[in-house]
Order: sequence, then C-alpha cells, then structure tokens
Amino acid sequence: MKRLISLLVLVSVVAMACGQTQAPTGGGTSAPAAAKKTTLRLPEGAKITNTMDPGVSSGGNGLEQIQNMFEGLVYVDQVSGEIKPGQAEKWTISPDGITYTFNLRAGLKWSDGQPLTAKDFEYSWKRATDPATKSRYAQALWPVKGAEAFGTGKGTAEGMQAKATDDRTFVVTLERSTPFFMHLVATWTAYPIRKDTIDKNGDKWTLTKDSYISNGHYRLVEWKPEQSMTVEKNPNYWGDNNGPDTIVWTLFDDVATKSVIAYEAGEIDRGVLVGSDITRAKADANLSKEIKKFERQGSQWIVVDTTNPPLNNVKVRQALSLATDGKRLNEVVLKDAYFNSVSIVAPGIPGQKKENALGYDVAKAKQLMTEAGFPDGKGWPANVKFTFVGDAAESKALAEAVQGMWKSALGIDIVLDPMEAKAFDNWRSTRKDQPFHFYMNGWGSDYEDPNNWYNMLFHSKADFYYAHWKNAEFDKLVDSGLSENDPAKRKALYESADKILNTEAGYITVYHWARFDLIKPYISGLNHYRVLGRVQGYLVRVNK
Amino acid sequence: MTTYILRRVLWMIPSLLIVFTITFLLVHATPGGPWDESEKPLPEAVKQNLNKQYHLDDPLWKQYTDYLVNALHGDFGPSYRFVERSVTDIVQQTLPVSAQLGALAILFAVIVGIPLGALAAVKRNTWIDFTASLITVAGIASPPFVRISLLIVVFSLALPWLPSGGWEGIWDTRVILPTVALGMGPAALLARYTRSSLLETFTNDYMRTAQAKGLSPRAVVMYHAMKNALIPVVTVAGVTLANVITGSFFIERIYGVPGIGRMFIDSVTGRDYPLLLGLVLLFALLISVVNLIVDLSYALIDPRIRYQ
Repeated sequence: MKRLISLLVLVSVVAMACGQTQAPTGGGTSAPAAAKKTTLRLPEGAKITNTMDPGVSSGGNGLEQIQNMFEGLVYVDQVSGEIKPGQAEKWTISPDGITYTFNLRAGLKWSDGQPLTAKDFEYSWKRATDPATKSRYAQALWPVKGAEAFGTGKGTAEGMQAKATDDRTFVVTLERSTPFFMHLVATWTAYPIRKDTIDKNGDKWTLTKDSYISNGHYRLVEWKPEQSMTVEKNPNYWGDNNGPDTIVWTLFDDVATKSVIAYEAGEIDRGVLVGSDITRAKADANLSKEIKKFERQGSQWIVVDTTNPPLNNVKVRQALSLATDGKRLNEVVLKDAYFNSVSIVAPGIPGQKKENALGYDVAKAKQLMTEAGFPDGKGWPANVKFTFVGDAAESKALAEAVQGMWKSALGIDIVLDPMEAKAFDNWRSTRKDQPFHFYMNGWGSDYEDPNNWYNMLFHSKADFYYAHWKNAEFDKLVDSGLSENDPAKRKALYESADKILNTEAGYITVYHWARFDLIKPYISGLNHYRVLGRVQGYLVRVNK
Repeated sequence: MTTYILRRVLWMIPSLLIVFTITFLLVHATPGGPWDESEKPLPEAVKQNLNKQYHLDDPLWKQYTDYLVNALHGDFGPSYRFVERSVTDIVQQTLPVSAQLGALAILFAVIVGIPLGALAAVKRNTWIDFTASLITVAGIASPPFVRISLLIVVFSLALPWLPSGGWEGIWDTRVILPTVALGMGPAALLARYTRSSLLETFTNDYMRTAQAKGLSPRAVVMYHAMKNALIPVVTVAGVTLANVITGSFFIERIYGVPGIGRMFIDSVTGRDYPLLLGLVLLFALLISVVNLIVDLSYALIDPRIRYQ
C-alpha cells in the first residue's frame, strides 16, 4: 500500500512538474482586453498548416493566415476578383507583354517598423525559386526569364530576371508574353519576406512573434502549433484596417466535423459545414438562418482513359456523359452540398460556355451506345473499374449513384474500386503510362484565367490527369490563346477550344465546388472569393 | 538483479532495431508518398526537386543507413509536413502534453478504479456491486473515441459546461474531458481486478484471524486485505499504460490536444517518414522501458519473486 501511495505521489508530481513548464504558454490569449476591442474567431485545419512561410507554402491550410499577414505587389480583390494595387502603387507593362515595371508605394514598412524596399521583393522571388528553399509552389514564378532554369538547378539566381533597380522600382522580364502574369504576382509565393530574420532563424523564422516579420494588415501575436494562432492589427501597414483588432484561429485536425461542434458551443464565429451536417443545419430552426453557401471555382469529374477500349470510342464517352444526371447527383445524392454540373471547365473562366456541354439526355446516350456496338450494354467488357478515394462517405455515395445511373440507362456494369487517399494519389501518378478506366478527381482555379485550365490540364503536352486525350486543333487553339493579348480574341479562341473539349474529351463533370459556412449573425463582411477564397480580416466586422 | 537489468537493457537494442527495420520497410512499401496531394497534385518538377532536397531519390538501403546513423547521433531528421520543425522539436513539444494527460488519466484510473472495485467487493451482490459492475463493463467495452465523443456531446453541447476541445495545460477546464475519457478504460480494468482479487483474499485464513482478533471490518479490509489484493492489480499496470498510449491517439485527435498521439496518426496519413520512424522508435523504447519497470516492480511488491 505504501508503495502504491508513493507511486501515486510520483505520478502527480510528474503531472504537476510538466504542468508548470506548460503554464506560461497557456491563457495568454484570454488576457482581459479593453471592452471595445473586437476579436474574430475562426477555424482552420491543423493537419496541413504545414508551413507559414509564404515562399514555401503550397497554399493549403495556412494560406488564410499568410494572406492576412502579408501583402504582395498586387492582390486579387476578394469581392470583384480584380487585380488591385497592394505594395505597388502602380505598374507598367511593355507593349510586347515581356517587361513589367512595378513602382512601390513611398514609406512602406515591415511590421517591426523597418523600411521595405524593392530589394526585399528581389530577394523573396529568388529565394522562392531557389531549389534549396524546397518551395511547394515555385512554379508560380517560372514565367520570369531564367526562373525555371534556376528552379530546376540549371541556372543561377543572377540569371533570374527580377531586379530592384532602386528602392522603389522592381523590374521583371518574362520568358514570353504571359497575359495572366499579374495573377501570379498576386500569389503568396511572390510575397515579400525579410532576409535578416531568415538568415538568423532559418526554417524556424515563422514560429515566433519576433521572428515572423510581415507586411500585411495583421501581424503575428502567437502561434501555438496544432492549437491556435492569434494575430493583431499591424500598425505599420500603409493603409487603413477597420477589421477586428485581433483574429484567433483555432486549429482543428478535422475542420469539417470539429468546427461545427465548437461553433454550436459558441467558441468560434464561423463553422465549416460538410455532408450530413448540411442537412442537419438546414433542418435546424436556428442554424438554418446562419448558413451561407459560397461558390468555389472548381469542377469535380470522372476522368476517363481515352486510349483504353472501349473508352477510346468517342461515342462511348459521349454516351456516358449524356447518361450522367449531374442535377440528381448534386441535389439528391449529395443533398445540394455543391453546385449542379454545367460543363467541364468551371463557370466564370473566359472560354467556358454552358452551350458547349453535352448535357443529360438518356435517349441520345442509348442511341450512341448502340452505334458504338453496345446495345443495352450487350458486349460491354467485364471488370471496367471506377477508382475513387473511399475514405469519405460522400465520394462512395457518389460512385454508387453513378454506377446505378449507368446501369439503368445503358445497361452496363462497372466495378467500384475505393482506395485510401495517399494510395490513390500514388496510383494516379502512375497512370501516366498505365491504363485505367475511370477515376474521380477535381480541379479548382489557382487564378481566374483559361491558362489555368485549358493549357495546364487538357493540352496534350500537359495532360495533367493522364486522360491521354490528344487533339491537334484543341492544342493549336489554346496555344494561340495563351499568348493572345487582346481579351476578346483570346476568349473566342478558348471558346472554340471549349467546344472540342466538351465534345471529345474524357471528363464527365459531376458537380462544381462549393463551400458551406455557418456564420454567427453578429459577423458581417465575411466573404470567400471563388478563387482560393480565404477570410480577409480587414473586410470583416464584428458587431458585438 | 543488476545482471538481469543489464541483460534486459541490452535486449532492447536488437528489439528496437527490428521494430525500426520493419517499420522502415512497411512505410516505404505503402503506396503514396509525402508529396501526393489528392485535391491538387504538385507538378512533377516540384516533386522531383523535393525528392532530391530530402534525399528521397537515394537508393532505399542508403536512406535506411543514413536515417539510422543520424538517429544514433540524436538527429531524427526534418519533418516533411511541418517545415519549420524537426522531428526532435515535435517530440519535445508534444511529448510533455501527452505525458501530462496520460499521468492524469492514470491518476484518475487509480483514484476511481481501486475504491470502486473495493466497494463492489465489500458490498458484494448488493445493488452497489451491480451498479459498479455496470459502470466497469461499460468502461471496458466502450472504445476511447466513443467515450470522448459522448462526453463532448453531453458536456459541451447538451449541458454547455465545458469547452468542446483544446488544451491550455493541466490547470484549465479543458483537461477534464480528455482525462476522464482516457482514464475510464483503465479505471474500469483496475476496478474489475481489485474486486476479484479482494474477494479471493477474503477467503484466506489470515483474514479470519484478523476478524477473530476483533479488528473493525474497515481495518481488516484496509490493512490486511488490500495490501495483498493489490499485488495482481499492479501487474496489470503495463496493460493499463498500453491502453493509455493507444487511447490517446484518438482522444488527442478528437479533442484537439496537441500531443504526440495525434502526431503519430498524422505522420501515417501524411507519409511523413522521418516523423513516423522517430515516433515508432520512441513508442517502442517507452513500452520496453515500462515493461522492464513493471517486471522489476513485481520483485519489489511481491517478496516471493526474485530475479537472478
């Protein structure tokens, strides 16, 4: 008994000793504040807050915090989508579209009060491109002359044509005319970062208040990994900020399920809704008033291997697309969690045209299948596989619904092939030279430009999803579109390409992306822009 | 005794090496890598650069020996997913949190489990015993992730008394739900063992002697029965600790406790090889040491056991 008691004492001493070391970090955020100060409490995913380094981040979780604390030369307006002047007050583009000259605002400062100059941009752009930086998004700056060579280890930093000619002038020369380049200038990879803090702290510069020096509307107060992040207004920001005084993000492993609980418990001001919670919230008298649905510019597809029989027959691909009822999939199967399928490319991208889509027409689908040699599914090969990530109940429901639709409309059988997420990613990357039938995947815009879809995904040289689809005319149209500087001509070129894509290619759209939020009634101005939309604190008002 | 300890410690080396080798082979045989992203695949050139920078394009045997040599020098490598923190940083940050939570859970288990079991044994076959049985069976039968979810629903949503998640050290209300959820399984186990062990002790002759001497029933149970009854209870401590470690994986994740169990799950789903290998080695070492301590404690508690 005595020994047991001493064991107990030991255990509690250990607990208390450990507790003491932890104590100073706790409770810091809940310190009493002046009555007028406002706080916005948001959820964020902890799992992939992989880095707060703008030059390294791939833009997943963590981007919202980076965007609130940093500002690039320009930014994308989170309501209109237009490019607006940020750290640069103006810029000029040479008539050939090759040379960009940015003029920085006078008196720009870092969050610690030090002056910010064009040299900081030169340093940051070159650092992000340097292969040793291990950037997950380096390709954003590759249109800059010499950047791809430097980034792939064949060139040097000096060879990269992004130069500060004086403290307020930053000149960038491109490899070739790139009409969407301003969108890339607005990405986080192109944000300025401070050389001295990185030299001093290495990879760990993002971890503490003193070393994480930024230049945006807010600056870091505290980051408790896997727990929370707190930011306050940056007094050295050049413009006004009428947003909340502080923003606190609670970091959840599974934002989708945990943030709703914390929201309902009154701990945060915004909850992320998915799956069955959407249905539940819609039926709830109180929650239903707090639901907001936002558009995300993205498409979810069934990708088809266009070289693998019988899917190499364009009539079969068209029949499958015509037999897929996107309206039913979204509204009935997925309880209206997304937006109904319109066409392969998401609405809003110049070139995308609703009329180009094949639509839903079972009679026509049956006829095409008969012409292709599979009347009522007769002669359809066995073991045609439909691969998808099986971890989520939603994708399973979707796959089963599509299987049922094709069976009843066309009389064909397909086999469902669920995979674990990472295993699926790996399997997909090996589809480059291995056959498949169908798999489910999606794409969302990185920037609102046709290049981000037609050229980067569907051009036969890109073939991002390994559908192995080749069409010389399509390639020619999107190649011309890429460097066409006249917006009207550019749009027409992509519209013609869009027609070919929808008629021939191997992508069957099942829905377009959406985001469901629960937002407390005392919050206004909280918006998600459809492209990489994140909450911008300075636009939000906490009326409490 | 010393030779015995020395032998056991030396045996840990090959055990850890085997655990490490199997884990290394398994993680590399598992499809999918750290740079595979399901929503938005990284461009091939970026992936290639990352593989090169992190030496993932080296031959497997070289990655194996490099990791092993570095680990022996105390360097468990960078984490692929948490760019700004090394594996050592992450362990230093998360292990104390899990240790605190685990210690509190064990404390809870002992404080609740042993008296509950004793009470059930003393009041055998009364409603108290049956209620205690019901509680302990529920505790043993329910997995930790069900317990924590139920506790959140009841105490954070239905009765909004406690926060729904998070961690602010052990002096904050946020510690209550995960401690109870984690400690309930071991508490139930201890209660069952205490009850049956006490009942067995009651049948011994010295118990009758103690009663015959005219001692109060309370003194008989506390000083004579408990002392011997607790020997088998202590032997289940190892099992209890394993319960606490595996239970913490789910509870930390669901309740948002920034502990090491949560990191373990993350490192598997994220294919964060260095973090996963580092944590597996750490857990293997922990379990080996605890097993040794439990084995040694037999000799201390039970005079009949001697190690040669």
